[in-house]
Amino acid sequence: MFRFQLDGSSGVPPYLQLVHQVRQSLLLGYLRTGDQLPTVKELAEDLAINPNTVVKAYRQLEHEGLTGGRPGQGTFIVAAPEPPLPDASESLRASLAEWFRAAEEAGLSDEAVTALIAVVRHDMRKERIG
Amino acid sequence: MTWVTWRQHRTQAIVCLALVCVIGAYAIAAGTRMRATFNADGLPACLARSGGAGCPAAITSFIDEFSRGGVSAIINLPLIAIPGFLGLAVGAPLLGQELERGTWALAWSQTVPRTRWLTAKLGLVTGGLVLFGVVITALMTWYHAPLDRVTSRAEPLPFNGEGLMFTASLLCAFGVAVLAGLLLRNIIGAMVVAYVAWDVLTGLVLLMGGPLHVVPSATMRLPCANGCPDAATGSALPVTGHLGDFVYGITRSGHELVVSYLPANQFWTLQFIQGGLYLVVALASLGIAVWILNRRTT
Amino acid sequence: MTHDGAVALRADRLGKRYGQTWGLRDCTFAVPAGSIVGLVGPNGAGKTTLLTLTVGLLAPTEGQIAVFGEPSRARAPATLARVSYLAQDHPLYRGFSVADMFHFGRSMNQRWDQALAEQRMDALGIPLQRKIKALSGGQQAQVALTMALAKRAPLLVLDEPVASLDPIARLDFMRDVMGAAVGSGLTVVIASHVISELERLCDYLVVLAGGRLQLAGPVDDLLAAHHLLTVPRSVPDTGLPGTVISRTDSDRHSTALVAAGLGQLAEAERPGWRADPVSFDQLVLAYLQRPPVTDHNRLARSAVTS
Repeated sequence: MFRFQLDGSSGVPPYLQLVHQVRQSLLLGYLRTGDQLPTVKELAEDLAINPNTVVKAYRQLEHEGLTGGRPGQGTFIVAAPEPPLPDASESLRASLAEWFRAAEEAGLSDEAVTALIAVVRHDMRKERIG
Repeated sequence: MTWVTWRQHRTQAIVCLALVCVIGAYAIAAGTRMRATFNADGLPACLARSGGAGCPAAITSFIDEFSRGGVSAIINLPLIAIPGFLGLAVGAPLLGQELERGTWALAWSQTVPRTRWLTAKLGLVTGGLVLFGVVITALMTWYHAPLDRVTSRAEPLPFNGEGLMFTASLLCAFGVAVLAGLLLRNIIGAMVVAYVAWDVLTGLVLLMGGPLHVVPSATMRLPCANGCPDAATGSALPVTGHLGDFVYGITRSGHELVVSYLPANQFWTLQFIQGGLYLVVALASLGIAVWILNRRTT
Repeated sequence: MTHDGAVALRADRLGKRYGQTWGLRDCTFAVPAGSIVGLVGPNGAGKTTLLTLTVGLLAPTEGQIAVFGEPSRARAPATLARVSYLAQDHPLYRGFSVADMFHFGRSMNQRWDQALAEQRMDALGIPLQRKIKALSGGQQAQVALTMALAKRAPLLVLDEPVASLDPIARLDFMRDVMGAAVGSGLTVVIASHVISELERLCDYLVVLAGGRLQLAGPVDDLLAAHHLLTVPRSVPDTGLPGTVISRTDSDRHSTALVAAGLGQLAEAERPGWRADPVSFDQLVLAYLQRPPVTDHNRLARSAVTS
């Protein structure tokens, strides 16, 4: 059975932690199509968390198309996310390396780079909402 | 509630049973010995024939053997102490322990409302105490029967052990302790306060029976033909000439002895007055406890 | 799990006065059935008062509290039967055995699931014949919880249930509570002054301080309705969207926790401002530290928000 972890002090809401763990495990290959996730009761008892949190996480995963199943019959992985196409991955890796070289030449520290990434991501998200 | 009450008072019930056994054993042994002597001395016949007038020496010696001295003192103190301490020990924790230990939050949040919890408990425990009191009283009455035929029942031992007094005193201590436990939320404190209250009441009762003698008493005037003797009140055969009368005091007035005494047939009247006082206090205390518990919002 | 429609617990201007002081005042909220409610507040905030009013151990001075539509009336059997109460420090009769405690439960309740009680003891490895005083603190808490669960009431109220337990006992206890909640559609109210434990447990939040209700609502809705704004120091409270719950000022910038919807945020936003989501802990702390709404400042406060 797939076992989850929960970090109470991470600041990330519990249901998101559950969703992330499923996504990550799928990417790493630890979860495969057909695998069954724990029932709501099993998970609530295992982690001592609110069952509604589990329901929310499972609903989110189902919404993303990663899981499926009928109530009372368990939740199963239905689709592993496609790994990115090797070509796209390779070209993105190259442009990222070039960008880092440019940032380094401009004198940006690691922290400045991280902050810049956060700002740009935040702005992009805002654009999407607004 | 029956099982719950039983389980919570189980130890106390066992102690009471042990007391009954101990007191019973003593009473049966001593009472049997007393009856043997009573019959051997020919007292039954004497009493039947002359009402005691014909065998004063035998009566006096009988009384001396069984009423004066260590034997009666041994049993006298427990007869007063047991109802007091037992009543306190059973009554103080009934509410006091629940409140002191916080178990009231458990007991009163089940499905039985607290007033019903209390009245059921009080009913059962009171019934148990009454049963205990009646059994002890019966044992004491049986044990003391021969002496009762030749002495006054207003003497401390028979008075406290027969009739209502034992049970009434027990219930009074119990009732006051229950109320104290409710008000003080504490077992030891409740026992102390209730003990003081019960002591005051007992003192009052004794005063009533003794120096105050509020009770029905009678007065007899005895002319003394050849000068009045210094008669003591403590003589075995009462100066009133009737076995069983309890002489309070004798004074000289001119050529007369004025005797104030309690007639033998007033035993029950006195029992109802003094025992009744105890019972009234007991019922009032328990009633007030139920009323307070019902009205209280915490 | 939350069942749509039914309200498990509804408080309506609930208040309780002890002598001259109000332990609880003007408390209004509605909890959906199947929720797990976190009741937070410092000691003396009124948590135990609210819980004892719910259970039927106490009568309100004003207002009312209703459990599944029926007003709680102190000492009415109907009220007492609807709620299972686990008081602070899990009181039990120390001289009783575990079996005696269950016998007690059976005698004092209309509904009693003896099979559940015995099965839980079996699973926990607690012998029925053992005396309560011979059990560890964690085991005693488990026995007390078992008694509350065996009563089979639809509402379970826990008053600081894990305060005196070690971390492992705590975890085991809350695991059992969560498991029981799923199994029977129970509505659970957990009072605690330890905020961090409640985040993973509750989906409805009630914050009390100084006898007043500071905040109440479903956790998801509350978190969505609050944001952490980072703005220049010069911006006054009135220039911020929504209601300012708390504000920290630095030399050049201020951080404000505001109650504002996304729409209000979008309208008010300026360049150089930043809005971040609020965490559970931040939200609760902000409302705990906010001065309680009294009749005096209620008008002033509403003037600010309108």
